[in-house]
Amino acid sequence: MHAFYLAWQYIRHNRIKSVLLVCGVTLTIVVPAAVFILVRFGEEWLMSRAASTPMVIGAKGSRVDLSLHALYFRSKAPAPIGMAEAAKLREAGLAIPVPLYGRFTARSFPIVGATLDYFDFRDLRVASGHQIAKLGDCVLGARVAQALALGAGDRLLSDSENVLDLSGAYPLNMRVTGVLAEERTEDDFAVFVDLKTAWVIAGLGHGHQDVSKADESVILDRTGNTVVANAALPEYTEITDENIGSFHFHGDPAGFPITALIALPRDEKSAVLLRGRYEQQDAAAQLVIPEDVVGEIMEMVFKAQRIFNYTVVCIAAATVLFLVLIISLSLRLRSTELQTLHKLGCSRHTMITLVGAELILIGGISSLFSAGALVLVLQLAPVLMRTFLA
Amino acid sequence: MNGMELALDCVRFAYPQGRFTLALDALHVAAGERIAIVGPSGSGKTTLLNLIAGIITPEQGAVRLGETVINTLSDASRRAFRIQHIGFVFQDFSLLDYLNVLQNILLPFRVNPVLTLDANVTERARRCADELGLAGKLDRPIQQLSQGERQRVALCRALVTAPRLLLADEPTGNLDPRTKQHAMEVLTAQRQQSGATLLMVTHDHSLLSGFDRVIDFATLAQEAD
Repeated sequence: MHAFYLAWQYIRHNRIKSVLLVCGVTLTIVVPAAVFILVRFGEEWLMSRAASTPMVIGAKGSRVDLSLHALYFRSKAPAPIGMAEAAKLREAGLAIPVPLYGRFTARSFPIVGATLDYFDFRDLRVASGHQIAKLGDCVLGARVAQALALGAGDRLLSDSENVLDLSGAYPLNMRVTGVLAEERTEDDFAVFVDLKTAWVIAGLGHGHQDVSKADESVILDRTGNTVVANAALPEYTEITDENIGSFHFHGDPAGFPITALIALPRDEKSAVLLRGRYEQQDAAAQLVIPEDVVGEIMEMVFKAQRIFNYTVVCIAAATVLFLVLIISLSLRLRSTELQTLHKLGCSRHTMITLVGAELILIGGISSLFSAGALVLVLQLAPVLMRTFLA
Repeated sequence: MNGMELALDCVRFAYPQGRFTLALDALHVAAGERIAIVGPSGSGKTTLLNLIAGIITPEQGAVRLGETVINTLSDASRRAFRIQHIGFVFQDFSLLDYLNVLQNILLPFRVNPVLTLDANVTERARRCADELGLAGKLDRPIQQLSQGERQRVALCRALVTAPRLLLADEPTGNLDPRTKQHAMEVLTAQRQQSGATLLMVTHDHSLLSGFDRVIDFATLAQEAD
């Protein structure tokens, strides 16, 4: 124990040198280990969600974009398909359709328009408050609630798509009805609304002042039951119990947009039939198997990681050589001190023990810091993965 | 405690990489005797002390301390003998700057398995430091001490093992006259208490009156190719 006592005194006295050594060793441990952890976590995180999502239907185009959008609400929203696609799927009886509409954000978090089927499919529970009940309601993912410090009863305004676009939709002031339990998935980072609320945000539905009671200055034409008003007619940007009745949709509901349609086949045969339908040349949409798509992405990641692994081995070898050089130079600089110890009766074995104790302490401290940093990486892995995927 | 008798017979030593060779026919020091060794620089005085301490061993001859011929012992036994029976005050004090005063005094107990560091030893070290005027400075880093204080720390470290033979290599060489005088008083008083044999190398002839015998190293040893 005297060796460790003396080694600790030496380390304390030579603070800057010790801190530099600890930082160097810690970084050498943490960087490759963190990359390894993140890649493994990312694989598990991406694959588990992909594996639990049997099929996704969406507009023809990038399979990767469609998969990332439907699974992680990442990437730019793909071109929309009509709600008719979901109806068609239901009528065919081959799969349960779970439509998603994710084009908008609220304070940078994605707003996901979905039906209650989505919550059942992902097994999402409301931890506080209650589920979406009315038009204009939203429930928050656990991390969104934490980040924005919002809870049931609060209000959340959707982000304006383009403030310079006069014909664009108004932001909607949504009522937060509940917060979902943390799942450590992308659902924690989303704001969920009913599909109809998402369409209101898109400007397909709206509520405004009763035109029969509106100021005459905003009325352009009255013909029978039809009243035409100009843009000065006040539109509601918030859905309340008083004005909810004035909200209505224009157009054919079958053509209302969704950005992805998760299909839950009833059985294996249904899945095969469904794939066959969408593989036909004249199919209006495409069907992707997220597990295959994410698998392809991970294959590329692993290829990159293999290169990284070789690099890490080379860097680790270089680091060990540098450490040997540093230690030997340090011993040369400390020759007077070692001479003193020798004169005081210290054996060569004890001197090696002393230097060894210093290395063990430096290594131990570095390992502690590394462990702390890696625990932090593990804790922040969902956020880090989300950042990397952004 | 009694001092240790010392005898060197036909000792010959050469440094491996140098041309310097020390040849000494005979030197006898009685137990408890106080010897001053004087002589020109480079004549081998420090080498002699290192030979007596067993830090280096002669090629020929015998270095006898009490009943033990130290140069016939194994490295480990010689080291153990040295640390148990000999106190050495080095010319450069040889203090470690990453330890404070008390830690430096107790250092021999931390690097030698033959010595046991316990509460009694620590108390003895404190008492010794107190007698040497270091009582309030035990927690101070070495860099904050004056040359005189460092010299006293080195002396205290040499005495804390209660040696029977005290070797001092120009311990007053770096000190001003007043501090030098005080250091000698302290050294003499401490030696008197312990009764240890004292061999001190010095260039300062004003200090020689305090010794039983003065050996002129130039006439004692021979330098040969």
